[in-house]
Amino acid sequence: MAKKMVTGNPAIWIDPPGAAMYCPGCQHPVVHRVIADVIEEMGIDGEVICMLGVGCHAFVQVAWNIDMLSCAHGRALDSGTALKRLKPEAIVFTVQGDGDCIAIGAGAFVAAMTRAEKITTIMYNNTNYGTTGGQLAPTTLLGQKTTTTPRGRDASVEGYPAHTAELAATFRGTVYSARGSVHTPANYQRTKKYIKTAFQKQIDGAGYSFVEVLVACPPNWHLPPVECLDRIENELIVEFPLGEFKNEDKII
Amino acid sequence: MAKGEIAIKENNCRGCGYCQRFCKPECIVMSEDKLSSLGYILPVVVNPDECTACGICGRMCPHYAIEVYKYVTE
Ligand code: SF4
Ligand code: SF4
Ligand code: SF4
Repeated sequence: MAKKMVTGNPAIWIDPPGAAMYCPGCQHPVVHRVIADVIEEMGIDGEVICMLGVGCHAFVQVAWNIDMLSCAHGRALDSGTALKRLKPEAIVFTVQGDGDCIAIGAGAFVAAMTRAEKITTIMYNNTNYGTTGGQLAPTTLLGQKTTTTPRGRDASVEGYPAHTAELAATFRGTVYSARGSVHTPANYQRTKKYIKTAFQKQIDGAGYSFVEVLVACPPNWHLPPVECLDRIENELIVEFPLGEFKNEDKII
Repeated sequence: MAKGEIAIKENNCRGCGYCQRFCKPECIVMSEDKLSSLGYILPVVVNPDECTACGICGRMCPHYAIEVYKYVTE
């Protein structure tokens, strides 16, 4: 009987080494796949330019066969702004981690939304600094043990988790903000819809669009991979609810 | 009757177990003792007849280790 491929490598994926660079059970490459699927389905692989931050997400630079630029830490939106203004017809999106976007790059992030840049950001949130060994990030949950909070995050010392998608929604320049996850197949599909909508907002020239995605980081959560999926369901979503926080057709 | 089949690229697999978690008809289980050349526990297909070719195991695999094929009549 003849066979038709249902799932294989995305069209823009160069294999190897992309997925080989990630720790067992890391969900960064799952989000890479969601983005690659959206680019393929929208037929925009020749128009997108990806501005990469610094962090585990950035290993995708050797895996995607699209135009990409590796930016200084936290500055993907600054470089993206320059590129979008020079090439307004390009679909410019930043891929950033939570540390890159809301810690080191918080100033660039706020400034880009203040200027209402017509760019899209996809922020991978693993609640810690994965690449450098699992330090506290603004997104770390209360009580979560990291290498810099060995007894767990204590609100009286380190404060409270930062809610990035909700923050993005408060800016007038932001027309779309959502938070998804890929810890179940249904959430994978929802996240795909969010990312597609975010790209469409930019194509329509509406304003800034933002999608945060919760991802498992087994070694730094000190859990076997499948238990990380349960942690997302039982702990992360409680702190970081999923859904759309803003969806406008133009800046109002 | 299987609607399709999967192919596991053993060199990509990192033994995370997500494919077993997400396959509804329970076609896939993590083996007890089958290891990849890198030493990761490999999944095995135990119920090939139940595969619906839904593609979920392939999409949810972080290491792009599963290809899913659907049977089609020409
Ligand atoms: S440290 Fe965490 S985020 Fe980085 S590759 Fe490993 S699992 Fe993924
Ligand atoms: S999901 Fe992929 S990497 Fe994980 S055990 Fe299954 S085949 Fe291996
Ligand atoms: S394609 Fe669907 S039914 Fe077949 S093995 Fe994968 S998850 Fe199971």
